[in-house]
Amino acid sequence: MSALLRSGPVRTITPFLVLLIFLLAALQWAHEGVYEATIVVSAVGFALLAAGLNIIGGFGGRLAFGNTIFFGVGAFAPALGVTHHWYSALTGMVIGVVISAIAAFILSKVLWRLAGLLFALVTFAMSIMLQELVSLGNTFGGPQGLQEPLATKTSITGLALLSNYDYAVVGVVLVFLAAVLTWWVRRSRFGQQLLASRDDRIAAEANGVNASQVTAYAWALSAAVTAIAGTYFVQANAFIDSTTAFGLNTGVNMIASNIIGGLGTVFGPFIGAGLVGAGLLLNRLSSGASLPGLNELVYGAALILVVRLAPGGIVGVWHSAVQAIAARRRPAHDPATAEEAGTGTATPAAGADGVTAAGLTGAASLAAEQAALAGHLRSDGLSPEQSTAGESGYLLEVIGVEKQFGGVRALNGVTVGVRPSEVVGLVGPNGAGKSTLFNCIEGIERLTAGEVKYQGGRIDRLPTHQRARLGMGRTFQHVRLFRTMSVLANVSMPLVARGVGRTESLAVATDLIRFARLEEVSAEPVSGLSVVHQRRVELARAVAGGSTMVLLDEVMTGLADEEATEIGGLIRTLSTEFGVAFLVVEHVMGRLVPVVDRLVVMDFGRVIAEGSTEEVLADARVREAYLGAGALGEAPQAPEDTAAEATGKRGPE
Amino acid sequence: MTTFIQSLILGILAGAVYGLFSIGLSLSFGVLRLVNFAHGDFVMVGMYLAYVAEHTWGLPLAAVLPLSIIPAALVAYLVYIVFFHGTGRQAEHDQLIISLGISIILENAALDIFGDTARSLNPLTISSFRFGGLYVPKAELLAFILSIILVGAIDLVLSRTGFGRAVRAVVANRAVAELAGVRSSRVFTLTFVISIVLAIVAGIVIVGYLPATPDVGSNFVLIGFIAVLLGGTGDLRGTFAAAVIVGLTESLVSIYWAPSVQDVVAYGLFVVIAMTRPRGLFGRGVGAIA
Repeated sequence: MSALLRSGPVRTITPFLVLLIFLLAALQWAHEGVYEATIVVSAVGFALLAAGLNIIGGFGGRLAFGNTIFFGVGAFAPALGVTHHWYSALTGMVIGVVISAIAAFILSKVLWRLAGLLFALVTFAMSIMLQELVSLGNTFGGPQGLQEPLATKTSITGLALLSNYDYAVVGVVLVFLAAVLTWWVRRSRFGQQLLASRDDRIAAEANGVNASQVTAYAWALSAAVTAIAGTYFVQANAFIDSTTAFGLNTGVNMIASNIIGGLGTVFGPFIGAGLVGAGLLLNRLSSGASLPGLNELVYGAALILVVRLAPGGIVGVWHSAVQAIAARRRPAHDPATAEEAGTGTATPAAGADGVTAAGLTGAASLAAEQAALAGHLRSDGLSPEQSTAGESGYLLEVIGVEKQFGGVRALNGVTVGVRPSEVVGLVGPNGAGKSTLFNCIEGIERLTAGEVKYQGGRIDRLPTHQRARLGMGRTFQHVRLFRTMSVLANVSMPLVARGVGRTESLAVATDLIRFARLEEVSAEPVSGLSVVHQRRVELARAVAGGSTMVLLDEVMTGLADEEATEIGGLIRTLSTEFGVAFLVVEHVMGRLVPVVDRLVVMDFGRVIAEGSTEEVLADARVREAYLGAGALGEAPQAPEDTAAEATGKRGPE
Repeated sequence: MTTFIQSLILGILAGAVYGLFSIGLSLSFGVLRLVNFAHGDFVMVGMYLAYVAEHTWGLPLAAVLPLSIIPAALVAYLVYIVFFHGTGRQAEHDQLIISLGISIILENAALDIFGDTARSLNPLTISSFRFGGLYVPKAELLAFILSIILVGAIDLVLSRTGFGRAVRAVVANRAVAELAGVRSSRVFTLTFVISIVLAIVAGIVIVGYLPATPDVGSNFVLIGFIAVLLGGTGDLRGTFAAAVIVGLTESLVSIYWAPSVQDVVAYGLFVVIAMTRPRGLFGRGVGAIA
């Protein structure tokens, strides 16, 4: 039984079956009377509203408190048409959905730079502003709202049904469709990119994901679903006013359904909405009491209880329970459960051991793997044209780049070039401008002056994700992985972002994972991995999209010597066997020297020396920058030993 | 001209009191990353507290104020321990939901206890100082003076004392602050207590000129958010200045346009500025940009 549950299609279908049974039961109950049907209709409204928010708030990581805007638009659009005899309710619904989707898309772009909480508040303020605005004139019925005439016959263009039970039937269908849509979003390529943008916006862009675009589409989809919830509400209740449409209470129910059920899970919002609907029922049963606020009070308390006792919502608690049971039953690795853990509650995985052993023993099969990998990396769809250099013979050229931060000139005319399949080390004291240079090359910072060329063409005006898609990979000084995803999902992200098919991207990612000796932890969520594994995941991800130029920012920092050597070996192999060029920032010269073909030394935002490791280490200016003017003694004969001690600290601090 | 000056006076008076509860909101937003939707409801609690003190116990406002500080701090402490302790800065969404829950509880408790009729104090409401064609309502003036004193005191505490340094250290980098010996959990608790006490005190002075209703808090919390974000999150002086600007805007709009649109204009102002200047009007805010 448990084996059956773990297999793919069954796992997917089971929750849908449960939902379906539950929905049919609700319908059966709604059949009993007008009151029961009203409760089901309300719960359906919450479910659609919650599902809409979940797409942007759960999967997109942007809790749009003001999603009520689109609920209001979706409700008022048909109500206006019907009460003023302008157009039919169906037309109104289409208008509402289209306006909502377009508005959400534009708003998403405009508000892109606002961080989570501020984003939530700004959208909330917009909704409250609309509430006030709409209650002003008579067009929207003022504070009393609009009352649609009751339907006398069933009509499609009028979106009119005769009984609450009929509305419940339609609502149940809509909820099921919303669940399918949510499930599709979660597993689609689009959804994967959305989750990546949520987990780490900068890492997503550096791996070719157009984060702002993906998020804008997600909000548009979310707004469309929410607008349909609004239309459903107004048609079923034949009534809408500004407070119901845009007000705080609607927003609270929308968010509460998600939080109670589990924000960012496929079925959580629906479970939460069912419970909020059941809460309404209790409300009604105990009404007429002497304390008018008591039921709401209980609702508030229940909300707090759920958040405090069941973080991650009901689905979150369910996932943790399932994992705890599974872990007790099977102490060994089981990819099937670990992969699913990627959703909400990432449990730290104990996967550190097996891999180092594999790293030492696996050398025999390396040649075969490399052949397979080479095939993938060089296959037509993947590698960006050929690894062509510009006329100058350089793959990457940084020409006279300047970067000014306020009064600080972080880069002052930096010129650096990297040839195809060359490994160039970039060294310099802290604050020399190395990471800033990386950010300028990658497009995370804009240049103040100068040019960046890649394959002979200027790229310094391109957004980050486009530079990545041209074939530039990147690792970060502080590892930036998509923390809720598995190793496999992380490594395949650049392929997903480039539109490579599922099968092929899995094949490439699997080969790379084997190459980076991560197969033991392939299905584990990255958040539980050790630093050395995380660095290897990041390296594998950086080349996964067929990158020909990879920027490594202190990829060996914090690693033990043998681990660093292993990473160095991976870099050399990628360079010599697969023609990948590297620009490597590293502090410890002794680790860099065996890996690089050439060294570039920076200090105070300038290149102060460049050439082979011997030349550079003999350079007086370099030794001054590294060891301080007073420390000038013998020229280091064995660069590995002497310079290894100079870990990048400027002499007299 | 008289009308204009009059509306300026009323706007500044109202704005300073907005500032009093807004800096409390700004503190919890900046330090705890808590979007406290219940903040306005604590203002409401203060209003009912002063109302009960006067009507039931016959205490004058001047006595209520000092007497209420310690109970208010205790209540705030309990609320923090029971509801927020251990949620941490990471769980921003959870904290937001908890505060919504508290808001619902407070509003409905007030509804159950006091009903939905508006309650107000008698004496101060009508009397005002008059000179020229202008008038300055006494209750508002009192509230204004108290706000200035309290905001000044909080500013001094944050800029001059060890506690203030600890707060700034925790905001800048919690882990490093803890390594340096700052007990961040204590900073969080104290910050929350100060924030809530400010809200309750603001309520006590506001009820001198505004009647209390169970849902009055939602207006305050919206004004507070606007002030916090316009002023720049974590910038207390900016928040206070922004609160005064909100007060002025509302006063001018309601006199020269219509009282019904004053909120729309205030929210609109907020939305536009949030989009164009995410670090706040004065550009010193932190944490607003990803």
